[in-house]
Amino acid sequence: MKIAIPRERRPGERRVAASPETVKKFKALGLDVVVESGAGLGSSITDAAYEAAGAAIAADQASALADADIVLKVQRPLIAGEGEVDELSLIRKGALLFAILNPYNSRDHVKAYADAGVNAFAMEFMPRITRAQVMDVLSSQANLASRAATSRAPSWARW
Amino acid sequence: MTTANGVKIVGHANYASRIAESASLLYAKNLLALLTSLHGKDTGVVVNWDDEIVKAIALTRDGAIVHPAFADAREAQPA
Repeated sequence: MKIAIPRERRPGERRVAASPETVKKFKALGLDVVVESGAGLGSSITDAAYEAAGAAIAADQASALADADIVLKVQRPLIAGEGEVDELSLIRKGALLFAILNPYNSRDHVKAYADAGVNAFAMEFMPRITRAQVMDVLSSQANLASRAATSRAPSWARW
Repeated sequence: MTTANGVKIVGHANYASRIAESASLLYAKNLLALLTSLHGKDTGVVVNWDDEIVKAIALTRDGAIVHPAFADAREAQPA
C-alpha cells in the first residue's frame, strides 16, 4: 500500500502531515511512503531527511498522488476553481484521505469528496475517548498554539 | 488592533502554522497512531466502518456522504 504526503498549498500553511520518524514507522508496517519534494520545508524537514527515513521523493504533486491508497494532509485539498491546482482531482477514486478537513466551513468540499469517490476522514472529529487520545489533533495542535500565543503576545504589544 | 476602550488584541489567524515544526511532528504522530490502529499484519490498512473512531471521523464512503452532520451537503451550492 502506498501513502502519499503532498506539499500543503493553502496560504500560510507551513505544517506537513508526516515526519521522518513517522515515515520510518510506516515503512516498518510494510507501507510505502511517497513525499512530494519540498513538502517538509515549511517545517524545516528536508527531502533528504525523508529519504533517509525510507520515503521516496516525488518531483511533483501529481506523481506523488498517482496510485496512492492513502493521502495524508494537514488541510483540506484545493478543489476546482479554488487555487493554482485542483488537488482533489489528483487523488484516485477509492483512496483514503486523512486531514483537518474543516467540513462545517466547506460543505461543498464534502460533496466534492463524495463525487470524486474519495473516502474522507476529518481528524478534528476524533472522539475524546481514551483509545483515541494519541490521535487527537485538537489537543496536539491547540496545546502548542496556546503556549506560543501567551509567550509571544508580550512581544507584539508595545508596553 | 486596539478596541474603543483601548484594549489591545493581538493574535494570529492560524497559530499552529506559526510553530510549524513542533505542530507537524505532533500531527504526524496523531496520523501514525490512527493508521497503526487500522493496520493489520496481513491486510494492510483496512477501514472498519463499524468502529467508533471511524464512525466519528468518516465524512464520505464510496461516493456517499456518511456523516450525519453533512447528509444535506449533496445539494450544497459551491460557496
